[in-house]
Amino acid sequence: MNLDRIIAVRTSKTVFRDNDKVIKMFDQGYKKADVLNEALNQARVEETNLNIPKILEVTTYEKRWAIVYNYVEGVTLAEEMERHPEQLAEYLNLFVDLQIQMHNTKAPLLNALRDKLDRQIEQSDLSATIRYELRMRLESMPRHSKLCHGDFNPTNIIINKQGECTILDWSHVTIGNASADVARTYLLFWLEGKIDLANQYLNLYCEKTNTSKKYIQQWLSIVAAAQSIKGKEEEREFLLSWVNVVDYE
Amino acid sequence: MKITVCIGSSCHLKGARQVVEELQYLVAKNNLKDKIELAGTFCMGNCQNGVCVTMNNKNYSLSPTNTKTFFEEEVLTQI
Ligand SMILES: Nc1ncnc2c1ncn2[C@@H]1O[C@H](COP(=O)(O)OP(=O)(O)OP(=O)(O)O)[C@@H](O)[C@H]1O
Ligand code: FES
Repeated sequence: MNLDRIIAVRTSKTVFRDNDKVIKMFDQGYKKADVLNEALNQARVEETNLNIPKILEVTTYEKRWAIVYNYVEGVTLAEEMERHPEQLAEYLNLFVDLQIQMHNTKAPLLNALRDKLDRQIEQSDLSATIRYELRMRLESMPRHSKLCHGDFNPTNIIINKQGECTILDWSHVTIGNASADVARTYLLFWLEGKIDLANQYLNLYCEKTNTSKKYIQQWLSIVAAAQSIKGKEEEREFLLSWVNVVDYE
Repeated sequence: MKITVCIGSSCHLKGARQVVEELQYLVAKNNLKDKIELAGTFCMGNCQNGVCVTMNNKNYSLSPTNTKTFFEEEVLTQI
């Protein structure tokens, strides 16, 4: 395993490139179950006809877990959007089409988004009353079985010279209501400070799928509460403020 | 707080990988995973010095040997 070339750095992960392979190396404290779960999720999605990297190996190196994938040629859609702002509308269109195509893909063996959201709300720092309300709201939302990526954003899409897209990072994939996945993408743009882009994205998605914005909005508080249990402290306060958002327009 | 380490080729030759690993280790050891976000970036156009690192809009020039001092003197005092 040649670990000379770093292509991405995260707080607890480093991604290396070794010729036609990519090695995602987790730090020592990373839970084995989380690594294996990520690999299993990805393997399930590999069975669909979506364009995603293939897992070649799950292994350890100096007491650290690592997943080895095939290297996907190209740049991330996020980089393309930065580099060619004049083509933003075109890229956003591609982004939304890709997400809709993904939602319509069947992968019945994955875990349910509803169960995951329910668990995450329970783990959040919110008061028991608010947690109860959110869980009731979640319970009342329609049940679907769409493929939901869980972290669908332009940094997780690689586009090559031919314009073909590959979707990366399947650690959070589940099946459930697509609007929850859309609410999450909307929030992710917000967290990046890209508020205009968030709104353009939501408008385009709603237009293409004939979905009402109000309906996506109902998911926002649920998804924000669930997202608040993740790492970053400075995001937490902001997310919790979304929990009480009823009207955002 | 975000700490970004350059992973461009010139910084790579000066030990960017060791700097990344040391920072990941120090963040974990000090239980700061929810306070500090580590990231990588391509060449920051500052190749003449050591491994280029930015934090709070300030540039630092590190090497594998002074990363721990940087962490103790700059990072721990600013969080
Ligand atoms: N198979 C691959 N081919 C090419 N590049 C890849 C591949 N896998 C990962 N990368 C690169 O590494 C980066 C991080 O990978 P990935 O998104 O899987 O990791 P992550 O730690 O879960 O990241 P995130 O914080 O974005 O959720 C990607 O943005 C991409 O640039
Ligand atoms: S390679 Fe790091 S600043 Fe140029």
